[in-house]
Amino acid sequence: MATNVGPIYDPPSLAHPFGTDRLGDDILSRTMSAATLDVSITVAVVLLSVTVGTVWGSVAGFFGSWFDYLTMRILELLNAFPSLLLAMLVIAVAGPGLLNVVFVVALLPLPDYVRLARAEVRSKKNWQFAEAAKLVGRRPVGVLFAHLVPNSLRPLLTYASVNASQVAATVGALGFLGLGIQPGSAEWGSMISRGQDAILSGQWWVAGFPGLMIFLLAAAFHLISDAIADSRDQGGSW
Amino acid sequence: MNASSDVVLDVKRLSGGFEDTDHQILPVLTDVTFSIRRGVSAAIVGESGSGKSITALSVLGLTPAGFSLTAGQIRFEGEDLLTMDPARRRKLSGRGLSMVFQDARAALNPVFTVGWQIADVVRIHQDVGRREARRRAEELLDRVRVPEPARRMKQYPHEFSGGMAQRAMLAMALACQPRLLILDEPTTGLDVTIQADILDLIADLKAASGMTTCLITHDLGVVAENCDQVVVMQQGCVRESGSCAQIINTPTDPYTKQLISDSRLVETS
Repeated sequence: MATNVGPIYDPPSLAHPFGTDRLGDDILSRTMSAATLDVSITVAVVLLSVTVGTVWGSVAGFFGSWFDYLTMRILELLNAFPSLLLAMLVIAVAGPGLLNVVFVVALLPLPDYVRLARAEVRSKKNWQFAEAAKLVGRRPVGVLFAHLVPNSLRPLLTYASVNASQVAATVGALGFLGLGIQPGSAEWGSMISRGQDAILSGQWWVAGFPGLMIFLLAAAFHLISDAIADSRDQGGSW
Repeated sequence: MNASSDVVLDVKRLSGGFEDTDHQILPVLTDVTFSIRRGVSAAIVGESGSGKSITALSVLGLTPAGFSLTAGQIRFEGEDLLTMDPARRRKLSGRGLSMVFQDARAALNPVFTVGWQIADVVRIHQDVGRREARRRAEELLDRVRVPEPARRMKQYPHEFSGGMAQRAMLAMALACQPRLLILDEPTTGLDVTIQADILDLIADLKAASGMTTCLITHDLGVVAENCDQVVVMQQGCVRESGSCAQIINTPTDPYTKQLISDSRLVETS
């Protein structure tokens, strides 16, 4: 990442298409460098959350009894906290850092995934194909993971792509509050926070472009979710 | 072979019912008793609500929620299924006894290809690799007379007609090589010509593999043409059981007589 490559607070020009910030850093190159970080954190968070949530929720929905009861109480506990506040609390205790951010942000949508997977499996576990699978000698765990979970994936994935845009915004919000990854590293949220004073003095581009990127990333995930929803309407293969 | 090993399924004084809101059992089955000899094609006949399907589901351990058995025994090859431990019972399902449902398309998993599902069952019961399992699945589809098995393997259940799906279910049941195959109304809802095809197919497969079959139906015409042994049920009770010829020609029970005179058997014979 280039530092001090231009004059400070230079408005967008051919040399610096996104302008420069108060240290003279090129906003475009910082924005691009931050993209790898923000996109990979978002994808990692969603993958982690959807995987854990699907396994947890489908096991609870399939086997029921005390495990299901315990699961629901834990989810209610998680839902009782305002999500961003919870994330801030945990990071304040655990300290900033890439992995901590991923785990904490993954915790926020987890109850939704667990509930969704649980409801899907509960509604399908008495379907005939599940009973037929038992009849040909499958173990209950096999019925769950080979037959019921694949049948529940579409709503989960559709939700995951919508959720990814929320996650992108949350990661940005934590960065803005200085609770994200290491201070100083290029991340859209922390870049906005760096540029917030400059907005008042007229240098809109310092915070504006990173903000636009968060918006574009969220919009991109929405497009993916639309595509998944369309594949359902066309009677796709899954 | 002695007399007891000659019997595949022996149901003795089986009773059960649905629990109502006051925890009272409303009886659905009362003292159901019958046995099925090895190698025969048996049938359980009765109208809707006679308890024939719930008897079959009890044998398979798939009773619906709220239903419980209150008394009786279900012996499969001499072992009581009701007191058997779950792991042993699971081992029996598929290999020992298997079932073909009425609505074959609902019994296939909508998200996987038919070929994948049959190959999957092959792999549960036979120690073979993926490729060999697919080859055997294709062979099975060919055996149940599905045209173009190689192409059909790659299709999803929604691309199958009712009759083709029922054939695929038969292929899946055959993949387990069960000793007793229960067929719950396998031809209801199919065209008459396809009904006849499927019944012929079942008879041929039975002859080739030597398995015992138990057909559950309301159609006495189907029974008269295809079965050796008949159990007639009404309102949760067995009215009469015996060989097919005896029951069709010289029924002793008034309900059986009624059933025969109401069916089209009399007109055709």
